[in-house]
Amino acid sequence: MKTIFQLFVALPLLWTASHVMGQTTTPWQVPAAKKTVKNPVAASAAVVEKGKSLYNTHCKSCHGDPGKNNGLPLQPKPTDPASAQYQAQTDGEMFYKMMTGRGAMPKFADVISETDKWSIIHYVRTFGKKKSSADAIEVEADTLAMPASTLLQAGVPIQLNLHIRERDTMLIATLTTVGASGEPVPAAGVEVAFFVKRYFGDLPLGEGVQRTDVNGWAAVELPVNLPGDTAGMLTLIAKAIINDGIDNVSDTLQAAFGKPLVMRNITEERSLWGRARVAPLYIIITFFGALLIVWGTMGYVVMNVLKINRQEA
Amino acid sequence: MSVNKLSPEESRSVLNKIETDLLRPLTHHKGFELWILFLALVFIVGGYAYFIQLRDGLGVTAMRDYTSWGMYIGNFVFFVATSLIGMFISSVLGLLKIKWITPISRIAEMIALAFAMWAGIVIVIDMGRPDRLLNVFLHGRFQSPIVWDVTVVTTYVAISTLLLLLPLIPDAAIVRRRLPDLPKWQMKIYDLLHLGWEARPDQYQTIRRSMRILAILIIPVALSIHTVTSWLFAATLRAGWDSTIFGPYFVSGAFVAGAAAVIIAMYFFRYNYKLGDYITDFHFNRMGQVLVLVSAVYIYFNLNEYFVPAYKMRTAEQLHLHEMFQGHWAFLFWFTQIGCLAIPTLLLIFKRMRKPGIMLWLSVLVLIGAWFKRLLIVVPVQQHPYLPIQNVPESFHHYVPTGIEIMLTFLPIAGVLLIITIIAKLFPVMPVWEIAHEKGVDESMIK
Ligand code: HEC
Repeated sequence: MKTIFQLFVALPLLWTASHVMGQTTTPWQVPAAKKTVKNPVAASAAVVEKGKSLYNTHCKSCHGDPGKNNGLPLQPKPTDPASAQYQAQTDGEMFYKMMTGRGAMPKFADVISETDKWSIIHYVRTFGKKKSSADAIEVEADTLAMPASTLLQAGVPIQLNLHIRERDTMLIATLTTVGASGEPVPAAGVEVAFFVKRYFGDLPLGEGVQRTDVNGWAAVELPVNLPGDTAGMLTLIAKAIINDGIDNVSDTLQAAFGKPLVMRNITEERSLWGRARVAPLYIIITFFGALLIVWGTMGYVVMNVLKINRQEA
Repeated sequence: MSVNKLSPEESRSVLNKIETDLLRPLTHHKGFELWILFLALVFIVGGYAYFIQLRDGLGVTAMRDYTSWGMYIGNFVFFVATSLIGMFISSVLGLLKIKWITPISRIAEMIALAFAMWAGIVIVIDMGRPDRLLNVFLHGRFQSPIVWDVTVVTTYVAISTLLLLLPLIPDAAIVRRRLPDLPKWQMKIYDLLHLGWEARPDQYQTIRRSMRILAILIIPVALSIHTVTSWLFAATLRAGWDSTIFGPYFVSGAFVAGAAAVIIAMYFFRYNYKLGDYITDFHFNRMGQVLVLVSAVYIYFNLNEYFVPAYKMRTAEQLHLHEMFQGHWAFLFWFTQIGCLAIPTLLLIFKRMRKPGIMLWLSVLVLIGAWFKRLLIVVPVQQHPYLPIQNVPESFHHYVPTGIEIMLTFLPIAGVLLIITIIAKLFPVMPVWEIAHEKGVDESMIK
């Protein structure tokens, strides 16, 4: 009897366990027709930038930074897009998986437009061995005055200089590097991120990704009315993203372009909960007023009574 | 009210009898020394308890983090409450020109002063560091009911003292004349106090006018003293104290305790001081009616205070009310509400019950109930905070007063009795001049 009962308990447990564990190994099947779908969006630097930004918004929280294998420890694990397993998928497979989702992987069918989904695929492909669609970017990058990546591989230093053009409150980062014969030359095509320092972390400025132009300039507009410190000072930061953020170069600048912060020290204001010194006026007036009236009257009575022996009949 | 004037001869003999009757206890009082000895004993025991508390701190009481207000605060509220009767009898009834209060007005004033003075001391007993008392005045916040409370209690003591002293001026002159053989220090007091009293009309006028002013002044002060005491509770957000009617609830309850105390004192002075000619059955009858009136008002407030929240049974209040109605506090609660309030009130409605003997026992019951009621207002609420009591030593969960607390409750009670005893030993317990005046004695003779 007892063993049968144990079996009854054990069987469903085993089944559940195997089912749960089995999930990790089940390959994600994509219909053959969907597998072969080609990426209809043409690759370009702009598309890859767009894809990167979309990836950072929608996918990075689970899949992590491509190449760093730092995705969330879920079961099954969200694969690193730079991994061989991920890259082995066709573009069509990736697209299909984004459309449908599975388990913890959300369904992005209605969340991201189709073009944007293909842009993400273009971006993700830049981490692949074959770099099929990323080839286009390299071609484009060659046309720039001086690709930052090449410079850095040669170990040439980059200098970043941040300043404000007061006329239109543009925040401008000027990047220079050293030419073949040691002369300073503008560093073009380098990604620059702009920030304002806040209490908790830095606030990014500008939309999308900024890159230096042929003059080695990148710029964002400085929003007016950003709260600064009590003197209206803002701490502005420009960061040149080099080697995927490994060899960043940055410059900071203090500028009185913010709104001066007016600190409201509520412990100094009159309130019911404050210290005696900041008691509400109406309470002080009532308190001392009542005290004065009552004790004044008592004093008056006492004075009168003390005089009774002096009065003449 | 005009009284038929007596002729000078009649005046002399009537005044003589009143003076003899009322001043007799000043020189003859059997058992006085024994009584003082008894009070002194209570003081010694209580003083020793206080010494232990000072030396070892408030840890010797049962008060802990949650129940941080215990019997001492209950005593404080009870003392403040009982002291309000002085205002009710000499001011409210006095200003209404109710005549029968004349022989008991000084008794009520003595009770008022003694209880109010000791209320202040009871608060110091509740302090773990009484040496920091001055900080209340140095750093007190005008926003805090605690500062208001200290202020109004002090003010009430001052006005009560004046209301006691003013009618003593003519009496001091009478004692001085009638009993010149009293000890020197005692004579000095009458000398100082009689202020050259010659029974001149302008002197009468000054005294009467001053008493009238004070009688009016003491009404708002007395109301605020107990209202502020109630705000010490009601101004906090705690289920059971968070009530809008706490002010009138406390004030009406105060008159119940005070009226009972006055009846007990009346009984004592009538029989012990042999003043049956002055405190008559008529006076007991009237005080019985007063007790019924104030108790009825108090019962009405009790109904509001317990029935309305109980009807709604808000989550936070539920625990507290259940503990009161049928839980840990149920016996005490129903004992005070039914046994010490409803039943005495119902009985006193009948004229047959308003006789000195029965009234004495009913008043003792009412007074004991009044004391327990204060404890029930103070303690149980603190055991049901909004956040559950967790991970604390066992002793934090309940409150059972320690021996030290009980001894330090008897100390102020003995203190109150001592003050009343001293006043009643130094002065007649009734205003001789007012009684003589009511009997038609020529005013110019009362000196
Ligand atoms: C909530 C976390 C989460 C987010 C956000 C997320 N993924 Fe996933 N993703 C997963 C998980 C978990 C898996 C593994 C699912 C499985 O195999 O059942 C996965 C699997 C995938 C796969 C299949 C990988 C493989 O090796 O089979 C692709 C492709 C993919 N995700 C792309 C994306 C893209 C593109 C985005 C952003 C638009 C994204 N994911 C956002 C959790 C997430």
